[in-house]
Amino acid sequence: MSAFGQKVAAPVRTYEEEMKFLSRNDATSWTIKPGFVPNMRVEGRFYVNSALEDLVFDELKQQCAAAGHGGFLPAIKQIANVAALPGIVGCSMGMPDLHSGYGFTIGGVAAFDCDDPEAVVSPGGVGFDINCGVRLLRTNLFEKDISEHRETLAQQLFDHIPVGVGSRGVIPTSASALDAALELGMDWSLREGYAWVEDKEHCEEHGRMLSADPSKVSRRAKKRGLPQLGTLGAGNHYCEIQIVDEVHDEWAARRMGIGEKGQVVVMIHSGSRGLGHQVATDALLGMERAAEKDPGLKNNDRQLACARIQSEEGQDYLKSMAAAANYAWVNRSSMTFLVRQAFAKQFGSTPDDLDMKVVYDVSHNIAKTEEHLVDGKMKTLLVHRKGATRAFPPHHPLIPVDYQFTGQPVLIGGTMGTCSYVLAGTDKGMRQTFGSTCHGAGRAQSRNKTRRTLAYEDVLANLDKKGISIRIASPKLVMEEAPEAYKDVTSVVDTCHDAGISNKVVKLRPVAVIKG
Amino acid sequence: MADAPSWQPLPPRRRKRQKSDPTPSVSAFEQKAKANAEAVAANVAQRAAANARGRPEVAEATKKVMHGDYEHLDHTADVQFHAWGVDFEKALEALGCCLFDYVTEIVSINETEEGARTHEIEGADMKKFIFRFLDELLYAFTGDDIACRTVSVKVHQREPIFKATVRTTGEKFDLEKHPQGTEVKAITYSAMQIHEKPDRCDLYVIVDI
Repeated sequence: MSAFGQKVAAPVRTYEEEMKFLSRNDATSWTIKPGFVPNMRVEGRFYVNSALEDLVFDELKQQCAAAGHGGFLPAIKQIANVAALPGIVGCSMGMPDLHSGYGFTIGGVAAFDCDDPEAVVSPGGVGFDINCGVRLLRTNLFEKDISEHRETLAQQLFDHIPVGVGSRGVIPTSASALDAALELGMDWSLREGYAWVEDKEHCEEHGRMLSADPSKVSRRAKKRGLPQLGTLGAGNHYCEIQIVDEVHDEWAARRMGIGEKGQVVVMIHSGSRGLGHQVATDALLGMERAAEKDPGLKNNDRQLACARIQSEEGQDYLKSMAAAANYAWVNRSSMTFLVRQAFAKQFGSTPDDLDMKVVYDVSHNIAKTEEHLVDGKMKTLLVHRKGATRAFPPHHPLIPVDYQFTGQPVLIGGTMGTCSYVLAGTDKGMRQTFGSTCHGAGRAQSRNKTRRTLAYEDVLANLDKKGISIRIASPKLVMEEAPEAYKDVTSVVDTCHDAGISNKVVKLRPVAVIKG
Repeated sequence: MADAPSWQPLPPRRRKRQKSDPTPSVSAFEQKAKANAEAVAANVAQRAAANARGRPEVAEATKKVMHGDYEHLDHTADVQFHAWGVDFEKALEALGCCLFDYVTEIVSINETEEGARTHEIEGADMKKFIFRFLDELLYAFTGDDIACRTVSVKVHQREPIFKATVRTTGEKFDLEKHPQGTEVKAITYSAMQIHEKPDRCDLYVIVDI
């Protein structure tokens, strides 16, 4: 193993000793004090309420019991390791849905000062699925309009959207089209007639990162990406037909066009597919080589491979990441097109007449250059969000005109058979978390455990009892993705609401699920 | 938030209307969207027909047993592969099969001529080598659609760098023949472990799913 990979010997402490470094701030947040891991430059902070904190501390207990043998790093250790990276500002944060991930915790937010030559960018802080995100489409249909067609509609969607391992896109593409898509993002979808002009307006970054450079994306990544354009993927990705179940903030919900109880909406959760995964893998390997030359990049965990923002490797990664992000937006736009087609076919109407507008499109695995106030000074920061969603407050210049008074809509996907939420960004969130909030439920149990403890038939029967139609490509996934495997999304969202980092607007309940 | 923009004069008004091409009419866009819908409809019909025929199934009984020296272990968000064998080569071979038994059911894959592949793999150390090995197999699957039934490894040298030839047999992945398992996004170094003893070798790799 290279020198870079060697761990800085962390002292082996008991669980009680570890807990001395943690202190509760209020009902919804905890602080991690420097010393929890070596070389921490700033404090760590994580948001959990009493219902969720046990899951977080259980990870720590497990690691202490293992006394450094095997297992994996608990999420709070990962937050602390990120706090040790050069150029970090504010504090290293974990959202309520946090759990152990690759390098960075899932639900992690960390900002690095772009003007600091020491500051770093880390592919681990973005994750393998670059620009994985959620898009919400509204319709002018109501539950009573679809209740008879629920099964056929689910089948219709399953026929339209390719899902699961090895599936190929139904939208014709070529290598040159892929290059254009990587550069233009949703502008490509628009040009080719797959998206509507107003879709772009209701999308982070208008569905296109201008820093994208397709020439920085490897041939391998493009080859993986080409056949997969317009496919949903597997794992936790899904397309759901949902019903507006509760309206918490009627005024904001009306602005978003989802203010009527019983209204039908469609949620799409997907990312940049194989292309993004390969871009991340390529970058990790490249950065590891770079780090061998630069001893200043030595850090607590080999998985936190990183490069200086201003270095060649750092810039190359940011450009290829932007291209992968564009791919993800094109991918979600292509699926939006397919969903619109499926609905049009089912109801013998047109997407226009069904008023199937995009409510919003959020990215929850991405690094973005943003302006934030740090200690009263405006700074340009590179904000990494991994399993965390941007949640900008009302009046922020980067959110669409339609949402200037409500704050940015934040889409929180639940799990198969549970509910989803729409939140709105707040000023407090802007000050405390660089305008970020949670992204979903977050896993609580391992996939294999759920596969062993839950029965296929039980999970399906449960869904049926709740009145949810399901179409799934891999039967294994039914157990892995069962609601029991995840944290309670309502607790997660309540924590964000109580902490004031985002406000609840609408609760959604699924009636049909399409999964890999 | 950016400072309030300072006052700026408005640009001079254009008095004459330019006689350039008229902006593309909305109908041109509509036509494109319609053509797309038609192109897609044909592919969708194919998918619908395949879905109606039903997906390939593997008998419950064969699912329960592992078809080689490997197992899929618990991890909160991802999955850990554990493979073993009498030596490093055999353990690697099991690790390769372990991957394909996760993305599909390995017993459903046939050995065909067009599915045979040879890879030359190098790595600066053992961990990098294992990473490269799995990454190559994953790329064969995601890039070339090749699902492997058997993997054979011949390690040529260990010093100064690892070099090996990997031969695989298998066939093109086909949704009508092969059940869909779980998608593997990437291979990771996370908690990668190699335990090599004279008579047994154990490998642990966590993959991102």
